[in-house]
Amino acid sequence: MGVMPRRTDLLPLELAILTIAADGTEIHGFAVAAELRDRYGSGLTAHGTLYKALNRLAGRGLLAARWEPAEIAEEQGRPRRRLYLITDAGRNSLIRANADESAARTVPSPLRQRLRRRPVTP
Amino acid sequence: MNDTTRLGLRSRLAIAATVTWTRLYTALSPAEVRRDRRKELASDLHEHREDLRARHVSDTVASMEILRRTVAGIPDDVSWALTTVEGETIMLGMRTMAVTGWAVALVMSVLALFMAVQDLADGWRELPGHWWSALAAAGVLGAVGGLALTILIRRSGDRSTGTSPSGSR
Repeated sequence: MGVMPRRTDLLPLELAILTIAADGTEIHGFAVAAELRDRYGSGLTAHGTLYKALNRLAGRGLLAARWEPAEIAEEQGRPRRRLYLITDAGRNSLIRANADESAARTVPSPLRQRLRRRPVTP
Repeated sequence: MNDTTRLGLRSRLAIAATVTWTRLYTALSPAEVRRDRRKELASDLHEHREDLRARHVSDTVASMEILRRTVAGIPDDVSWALTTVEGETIMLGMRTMAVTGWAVALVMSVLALFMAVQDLADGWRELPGHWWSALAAAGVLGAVGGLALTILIRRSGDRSTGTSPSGSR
């Protein structure tokens, strides 16, 4: 089972969604849940958790959301999908998050622990 | 496609439960937000159903998976719904509950008084089973609830108009 990427500003789930969306193709909610399952070995993300995260990312302008044309859904005999596409702001957020993560990894953990334990001198 | 790939009664019930829950928690959201969330969930359930069929899982496993996604998401559904409900709708709900509390208090108090008087007229013979005491207790509960909500509504009103409860400063 893989480990989901972590970041302080974005929640782990939001970061994972942006990572999935980063290839620039439009994705719908269930496709995100299925991709998370396949990529990170987790179960399918709960409805409430998934759509709240997608809603928040769209609200912050990191994803652009639109309903697919009705004709396509009718042709395929299924309900319309809400499609999400990563924006430039979303891409920049993802790059920043990954850079922060890499920077944090460059500091050796024993040194980080020593720095944390060091008493503060006036 | 064999029988295990078809969605059976359990899965259909799980989907119905999810749809019902979605209708419930979106009920107070603005019309457009409500419609979008319901449509998005309908699409998700359809895609999920197709995914379950493709994976050839049994009806029991399928229904458990659908229900797990719904139940695990309830806290997020509720918190999302609270952020979409407009302040006016919340105030309307609180006012309705406050009025109901006061109405219950009034009706129960009148009934309790009526029955207590009748009890008294009968010479207080049925001491162990005084119905009026239960009614009076319900009346007190209604009054306490009504009073608490009234205070909450008044405080919210004061905060939104920028006046202190004393109204002097």
